[in-house]
Amino acid sequence: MTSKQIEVVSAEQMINIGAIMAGALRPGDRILLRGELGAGKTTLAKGIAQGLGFEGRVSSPTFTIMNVYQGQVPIYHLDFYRLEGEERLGEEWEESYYGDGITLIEWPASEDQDLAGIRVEIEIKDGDYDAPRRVKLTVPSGRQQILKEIAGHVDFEH
Amino acid sequence: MKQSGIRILGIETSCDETAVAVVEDGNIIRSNLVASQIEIHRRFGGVVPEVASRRHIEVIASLTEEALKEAGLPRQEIDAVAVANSPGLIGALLVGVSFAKAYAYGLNKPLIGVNHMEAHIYANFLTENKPIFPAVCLVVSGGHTSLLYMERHREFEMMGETRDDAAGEAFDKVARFLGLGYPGGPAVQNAAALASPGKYHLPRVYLDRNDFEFSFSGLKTAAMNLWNKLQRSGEDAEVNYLAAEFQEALVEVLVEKSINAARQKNVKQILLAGGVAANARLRERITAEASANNIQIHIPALELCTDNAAMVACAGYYQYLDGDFAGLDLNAFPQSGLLVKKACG
Repeated sequence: MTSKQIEVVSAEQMINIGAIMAGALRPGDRILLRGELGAGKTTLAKGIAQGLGFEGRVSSPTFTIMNVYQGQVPIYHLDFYRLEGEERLGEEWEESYYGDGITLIEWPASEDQDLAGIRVEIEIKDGDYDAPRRVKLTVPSGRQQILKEIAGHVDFEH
Repeated sequence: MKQSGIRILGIETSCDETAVAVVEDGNIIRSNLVASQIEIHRRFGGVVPEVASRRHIEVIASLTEEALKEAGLPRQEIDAVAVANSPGLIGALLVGVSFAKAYAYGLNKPLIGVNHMEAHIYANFLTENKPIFPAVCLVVSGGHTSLLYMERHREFEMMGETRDDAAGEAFDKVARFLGLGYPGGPAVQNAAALASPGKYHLPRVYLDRNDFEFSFSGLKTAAMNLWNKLQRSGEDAEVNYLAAEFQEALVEVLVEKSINAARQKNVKQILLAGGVAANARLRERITAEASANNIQIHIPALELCTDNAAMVACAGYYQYLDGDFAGLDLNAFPQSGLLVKKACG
């Protein structure tokens, strides 16, 4: 596991980072997106979907629980915000977890940890939404390419 | 096919509510029953799909019998079974779809698959005084915020929709953040009723003034940011005033975009649909603005704005008239996709 942090100052930059990340993803990858309400999880998901060639609308799946977008591969955009305290590994999610697509999970549960390769944690410092977000990316060993791609475009914090 | 006395059994299980209704000729509600799960979900602060599905299974058969009894009709006198098969929670939708299939097959009656959002719009037709085409529809709920143009039955042109959060979702999330409770719409409305907008200021997010796109994620964030700042500053943070300002900012954008859409399309009627159409401030402001612009507002009765099966039966009635029936292979789909039959030109 390797972690790096970036400071993100705008929604545009968040989308841009998602699009860059997308270039290093592989079918079957699962990305867990953590962060408070309004942190920018859906915005980052939008960037990843765009980077994977999806040109349509990426909106919050809070209500529908799952949106599916057709990019170069199927993109499963899940949101477990409303599923507190409940089993999330039922068969309705199997295709999105174990298929050949790329799965983005907002509000993942702790048990989803076992599933995932890539973790994104977005921090709002002191609850100040006007301040830059701190985005921490954690990738499993062998997948440092994802961090290298991003390092080619933005500076990581040291 | 008979022309009147057409009785549709409607079934709705797309989210929190198990609902069954019998509607005759598209606007005579013979029965309309809703078994709400809100009490169960309140404990979790939201919907729980597995719990929702199990509850639907437990109540759907007896609720159907009850709806027929209340309608005073033996099963055989139903002309078709209409069921909401998209959009919604897949497990929940499947309960209604499977039950409807079995029921229709057992009675040897046609089966009709209805789009839940389309059904919300059709709640406007559950009345003597039906809307007149062409019309503009504002569909606002937990999962949708869309402006549609409707020239005739069952044809919709998408004029604009939300780019991030739906209006109802913003209500829910802000209510939860402020500790006002679930469901968020009524919680914010009740808090707002104890105060007035203007004490605090939140942005009205119009994006481009000339189009019909919405964005509520920024307003949600602004409300939470303001709340955090107020708490930190040690000033009197008055939650009811913040709720009132939030509601006002959201409603103002919905109202202005709807009126502009009606003017651009030169229509004389705006139809409101979806759970957020139950919001009192939205109803009040859009009615006032519309009347100043010589536009009529159609709003379903309060109990027909939130999820119910009478609206499913009503939408099913118009599909029945078109002979648009489903096979027993009818499936459920979590995402809409069926709603817009004509792309924006």
